[in-house]
Amino acid sequence: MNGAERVYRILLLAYPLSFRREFEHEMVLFFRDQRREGAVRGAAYWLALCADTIRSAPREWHARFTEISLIGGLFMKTMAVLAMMIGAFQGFNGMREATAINFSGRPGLEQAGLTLAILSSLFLIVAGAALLRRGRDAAGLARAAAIATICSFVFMGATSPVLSIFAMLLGTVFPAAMLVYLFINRSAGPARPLVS
Amino acid sequence: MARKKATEEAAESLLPLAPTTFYILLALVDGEKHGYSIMQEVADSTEGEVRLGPGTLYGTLKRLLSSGIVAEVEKSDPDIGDERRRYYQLTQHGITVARAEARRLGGMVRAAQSRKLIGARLV
Repeated sequence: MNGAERVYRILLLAYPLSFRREFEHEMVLFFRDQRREGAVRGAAYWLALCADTIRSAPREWHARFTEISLIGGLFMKTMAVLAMMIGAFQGFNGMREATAINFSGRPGLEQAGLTLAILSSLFLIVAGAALLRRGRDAAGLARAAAIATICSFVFMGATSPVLSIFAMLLGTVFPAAMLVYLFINRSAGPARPLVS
Repeated sequence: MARKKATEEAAESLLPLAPTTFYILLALVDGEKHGYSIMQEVADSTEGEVRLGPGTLYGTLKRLLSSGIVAEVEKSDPDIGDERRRYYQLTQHGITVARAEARRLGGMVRAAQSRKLIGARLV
């Protein structure tokens, strides 16, 4: 590899890694063809090459970011569907427990805990639907639902552990994961289309 | 018949093509070529007016590959000691797209001729 090729390879670093993985070898062969034909000579060649890099590299970066946001959008959709499914499961589970343990005859704290768990399950369903519909307040609603779910399940676990350990874990770990995901993707904004 | 119409409609939905893209498709009409020979073909057919840089060329090829207009074949190149390199060729869809763009441009030229903007001999 001579000095000119080394400089050329440095210029190629302006492109995203995924693009280089796909085309770097071909681009180097392209450069060698040009050198063999005597085109790699003088400042004009390098100026044209720099101009081409300045024009094309940002386009590849833009394409790469679009690709990433599409993947993020698909992940957001998965998260929304999971929120709805877990909400439905927790709501059903909560109501089943409420009928099984003679709800009206239980102490007030237990009643409050179970009611909160059922309500937060409904929140999860609403938040999932909002995320799917890309509503303007979807992220805020999902965040509120996640916090309400965690609080109510912790409250219920402390006062009346009537739900199974699995249901309790699901009711706390999933909303926590959802909060972390929404925090990481806060810059994406809920009003932006999830999948263009 | 309905299938042919659907194919043409799919091709027309991609129009208008950027000039660089159309030049690349034109370069591939004669058969498969590697990146450098595409650049040479474009430079020759435009009398040196259009010189594709590697970034523009491979960026465009990437998009053409992902939209199924162009396909790649890997084979050895005798000019560079049998080192393997990628050759690009038009797919059937690519030929339809190139034809549709040529028709569109032809229509524009005819419109310009009918308004005496350019002479009839240009086409």
